[in-house]
Amino acid sequence: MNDPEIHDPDISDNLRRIVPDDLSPARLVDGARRKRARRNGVVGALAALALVAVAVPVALNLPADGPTVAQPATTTSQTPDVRQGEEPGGVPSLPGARACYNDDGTPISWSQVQTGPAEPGAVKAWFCGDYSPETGIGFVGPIEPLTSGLDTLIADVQAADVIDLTVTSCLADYNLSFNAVFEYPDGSRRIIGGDRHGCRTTYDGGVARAGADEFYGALYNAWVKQRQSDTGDWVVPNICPGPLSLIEMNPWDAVQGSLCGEGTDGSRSATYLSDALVAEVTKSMRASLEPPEENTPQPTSSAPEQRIWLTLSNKFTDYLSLVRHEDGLYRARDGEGQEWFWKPSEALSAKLDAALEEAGPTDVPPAGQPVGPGSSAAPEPTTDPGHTSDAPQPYVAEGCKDAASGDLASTELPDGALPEDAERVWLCASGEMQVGSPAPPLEPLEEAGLVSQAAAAFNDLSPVPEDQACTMELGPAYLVVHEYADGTRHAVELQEYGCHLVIGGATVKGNSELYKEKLLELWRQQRADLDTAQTRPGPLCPLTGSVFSLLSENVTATSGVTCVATGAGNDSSTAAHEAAIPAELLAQINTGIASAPLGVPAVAPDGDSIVLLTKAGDPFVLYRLEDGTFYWSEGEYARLWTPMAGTAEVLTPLFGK
Amino acid sequence: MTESLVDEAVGFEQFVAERGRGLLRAAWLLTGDHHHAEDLVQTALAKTWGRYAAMSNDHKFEAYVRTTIYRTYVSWWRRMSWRSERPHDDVPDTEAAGGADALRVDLLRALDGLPRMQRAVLTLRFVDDMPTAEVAHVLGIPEGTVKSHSHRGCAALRGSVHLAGQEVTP
Repeated sequence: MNDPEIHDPDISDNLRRIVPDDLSPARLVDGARRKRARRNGVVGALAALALVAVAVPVALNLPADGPTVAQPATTTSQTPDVRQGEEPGGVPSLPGARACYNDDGTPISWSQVQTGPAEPGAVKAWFCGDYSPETGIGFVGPIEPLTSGLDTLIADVQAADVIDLTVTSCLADYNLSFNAVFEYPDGSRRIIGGDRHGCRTTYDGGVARAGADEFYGALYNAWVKQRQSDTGDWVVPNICPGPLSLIEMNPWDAVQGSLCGEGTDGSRSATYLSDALVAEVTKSMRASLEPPEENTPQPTSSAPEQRIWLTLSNKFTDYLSLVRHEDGLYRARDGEGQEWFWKPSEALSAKLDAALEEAGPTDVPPAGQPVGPGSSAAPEPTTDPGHTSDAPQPYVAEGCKDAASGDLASTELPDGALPEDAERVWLCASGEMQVGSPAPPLEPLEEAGLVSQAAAAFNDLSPVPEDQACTMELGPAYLVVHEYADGTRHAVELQEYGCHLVIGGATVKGNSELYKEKLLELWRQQRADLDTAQTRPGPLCPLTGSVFSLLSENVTATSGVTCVATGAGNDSSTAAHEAAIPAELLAQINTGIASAPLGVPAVAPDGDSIVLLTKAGDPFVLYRLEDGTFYWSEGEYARLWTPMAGTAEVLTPLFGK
Repeated sequence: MTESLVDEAVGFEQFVAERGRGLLRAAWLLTGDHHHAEDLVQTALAKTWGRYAAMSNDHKFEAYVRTTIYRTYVSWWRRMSWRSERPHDDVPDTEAAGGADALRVDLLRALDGLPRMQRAVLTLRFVDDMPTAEVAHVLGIPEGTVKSHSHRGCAALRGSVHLAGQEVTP
């Protein structure tokens, strides 16, 4: 190699000299093990669609003569104040410890009113994840309390450095929020929260400190250690599909199982599995669970008529949910976060089908919804009618309709290459990834020179190398559809997850990031002379952004809407009341966001948002916070916009505030 | 766990024991301190653990983990929090033999001033001795971009005020 830069002994030697000699790998494995257990967690609606499929869990009514369930031991350390499923009034079950929920069934949070930091002297602690009964998404903590080492846990949190969040910039990404509830002899409680994202902060009596990961690890290890001498045997909450558990379980530790299905018409059926059937399932899993092979096609899951889940739980009521795919494969994760596929034998599969058929339909309400007085009604829209979408589905361009429906997948290519004489090229969100994926461009690539370059961008990609770095992170997938004069259509799949592959039938290539960038650059070239603002049809509120990395200082919105959520939650699947933003207000918003500084939200999102469209019709989303400011992410950073008084005067009422 | 999983776990631990220090060195140059280097390597190992058994040898797996370390670093979101937690106080004030500690402080400050991708390219090129094409593959960017980052990164280090008083190694 004749690259002169590689021969720079100064830089090379100096860089090598400064590395300390005492770097030790001693803690790498344990740390990796803890991170591995969490890094594949459900993050947002997109991840939920990819792995579990959004569905509200079905609460199973435990019949009087139903399967035997384990009863909690009667020691004082296992006080049955967590006997879910036995609440008076028939309130559907909430998974995990009762201490993790308020009386109205909403999850507790460190941000709730409490006076002062946690103090020593606690006698119990509970570990709470971010499970939302509203959506059925999130992690559930252990059902049993921790009863030793509590003072040390609190002291270690309080010994960490204080973080001034008003001057520290942390990205507003999301990984996992958790809470530890400490209970004292007088029954009072203190909550210490933690965010495993952003600045990795703990929150204790209003004081933010570093060390959320360490606190999480300490809690995790404490429970694992306590369980070594704990017989378990708790009442099993009746949830299917079950949530993810902070303390992960191995499928072969299952002592109870349930099977549930949800049809496209919303009908649900659910049943407990007999002990014998659970034993048969776990025996089969132990023998036949297989990790995915390299480049093995993923199980199919395109719009089945009925979604089916198998939920297992162990003696500590930790959950493991497996989703069944159309080809009979179940996808699951073991206690270490490894993804596995399980294919039951025909006989076992038939038994599971029969169990579900016997269950029949049920009208049992979804878990987590309160029953009786106290239910809060959805807020009435207070702005002009605008457009309300009950089942928000973003616009799909004509050339992408079959990609969206799942009817089009990657196609076999002639001699493994895309012919370069297509008439147009569409970039389409793929299948189930419609909601939550960044929006592709409205228009196809049609300029002759650019269309041929799009084909060349694929053809020039290298085959997947043997040591391709693949990760378990989640991301969207797209179909790049080439249309030819004779009516032929060729499609290649662009995956922004896993091995970052680009797949055209049997032709598999790598470096999807490079391919995507090349494609987007072609679209930018085509748009260089765009002079008319494009309108994106359909509801805009479900949109989460654009495939183009739009930066606020480069965004000049030509139209936009306010989105007022009509239900709780802040994900793209929530219906929203949508209203157009007047031109004068739009101009003020453009001015405001162009100079918005980097920042970190100090309060939570309130579920509302603004969706702006650029001249090309690409969406840019501003999320509204509880204090009336707005935030959005730009790559690694987040920006905060505080509307000026005049703007806020006009903008705030549009959100019904 | 099944016996095969136990064997895999043991193999993985041996891999980390034998090669972890080298991984930490790269991560340290990217992040500038023990804690974050450890965090970065742990994250990469957590992401790649499931592939250990599928890789035919430890050398390939190490390359795979290194790629993941660099890609994670480049895309990581904690840049601002790391800046606010820069542990300059951890570096001893007294000079060790050869002035390595003073150089460490100055060079880290100079590296801090580089965009993330430039820092990754320099580490791959001048510490891992990786050719341009391989750096491009690891980071998933065109070779021309690697050369550009390398050139600008070198220029930035040479011109850094933090290194103005340092004697370069002949």
